[in-house]
Amino acid sequence: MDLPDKFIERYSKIVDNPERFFASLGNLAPKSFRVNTIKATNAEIEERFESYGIEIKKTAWYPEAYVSSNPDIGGTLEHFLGKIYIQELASMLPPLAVKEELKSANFVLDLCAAPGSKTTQISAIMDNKGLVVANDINYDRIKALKFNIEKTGSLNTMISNFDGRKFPDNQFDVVFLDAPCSSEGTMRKSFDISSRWSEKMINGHASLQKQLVLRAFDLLSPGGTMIYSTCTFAPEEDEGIVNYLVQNREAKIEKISIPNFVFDSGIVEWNEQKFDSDVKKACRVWPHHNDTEGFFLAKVTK
Amino acid sequence: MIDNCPQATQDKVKEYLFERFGISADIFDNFALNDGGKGRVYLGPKAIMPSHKSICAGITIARISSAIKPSTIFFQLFNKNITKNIVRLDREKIVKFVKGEDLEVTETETNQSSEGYVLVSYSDFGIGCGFLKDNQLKNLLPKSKRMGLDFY
Repeated sequence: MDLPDKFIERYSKIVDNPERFFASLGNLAPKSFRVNTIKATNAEIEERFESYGIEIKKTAWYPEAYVSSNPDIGGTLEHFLGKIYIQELASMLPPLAVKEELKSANFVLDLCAAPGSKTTQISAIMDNKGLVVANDINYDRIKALKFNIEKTGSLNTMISNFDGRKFPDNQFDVVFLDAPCSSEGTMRKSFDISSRWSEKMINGHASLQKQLVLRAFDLLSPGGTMIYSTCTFAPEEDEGIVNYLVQNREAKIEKISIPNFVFDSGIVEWNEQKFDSDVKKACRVWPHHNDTEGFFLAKVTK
Repeated sequence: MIDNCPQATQDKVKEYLFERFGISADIFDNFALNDGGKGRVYLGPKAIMPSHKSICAGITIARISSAIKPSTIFFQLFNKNITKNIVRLDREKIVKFVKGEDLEVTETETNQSSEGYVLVSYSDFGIGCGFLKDNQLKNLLPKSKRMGLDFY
């Protein structure tokens, strides 16, 4: 894969094994899915896939997540019925990072929700109880969000169509901000990302993310928890945004624990800017560590 | 803004689903029936966030026009609660149904179902909604959900 020189220069400085990292970007991540526990059990899915002769393997870090070398899982009856949800592994991390909080939450916000992978996962973890507000600014993308909510039987959801920066005053127990980003981490499936890549694009996203992160935090109830995530490696959009939040709000960064998943700590310095030392509690997901796409997440409490 | 369906509509929908499909009204106990506009009835959370930019809450369970038409997604979610008016298709026919074809069905397959909306099932799975008339099964799967099945 042809990567821009500047991209290579930036990340060679912060990744543990540049050679493996850059090589991983040229290979597709494995096909993965999540068992939708609203409609099915792991045992049922394992039995059905065995009967089809499709080999699947449960991940070591999320009992409902499976990978398969067979690209045809989209043609199964279970996919048609919404018993499984085809989803990239790394994108399953945000709800998993607050699994315990979600079990007791009544009021949850997914601020940039389309196409609904996270929303439907959150709904399943909450066992269809309480309320998940799935918001997205883009009306066209809401069609996909609605489709997936209906397919998975996520009854405890409602869809809204606000600009996340202007979401009306409310108090949520848990807020997810999976921010629009430069999507560097999805290069394994979207090769064209590298041809469109520029530092200017990164800085443009960071500006929007700063506004979104403050609004998302302001929507938390006292004691509430927020997950900030992106699918990019760019520190300006990752640690830089979390640092901006703690500089501007009484936000406390918490450690994330997902046993058997390999994370790198957040970095505390980038381009001569020093971040709050707690930013290292954030998690960088490099594709070559768990054979996923690239991701970043941080857990913050109020 | 999302509003609850008028009580009369709620009663009418529950009564129809019980009469035609044997669905007990307790499945609705923890949820609300909301008005989705254009005759759509949603089953969703009881507590919602009041807002002028709300689009919907929960999932579409039926559409009311001259009759009440249950949705495929409702049937897929609550198929285990349905006790009558079920058309059971075999392996060969279910592939055609999921692709979107209308089908001719036998008396064994219709299993004493009466004319009207039916649950189309395969093995233990609720596949979707059809309309039965004179041994003809009209396919009511939404176009966006139709697909070719490779493994079933």
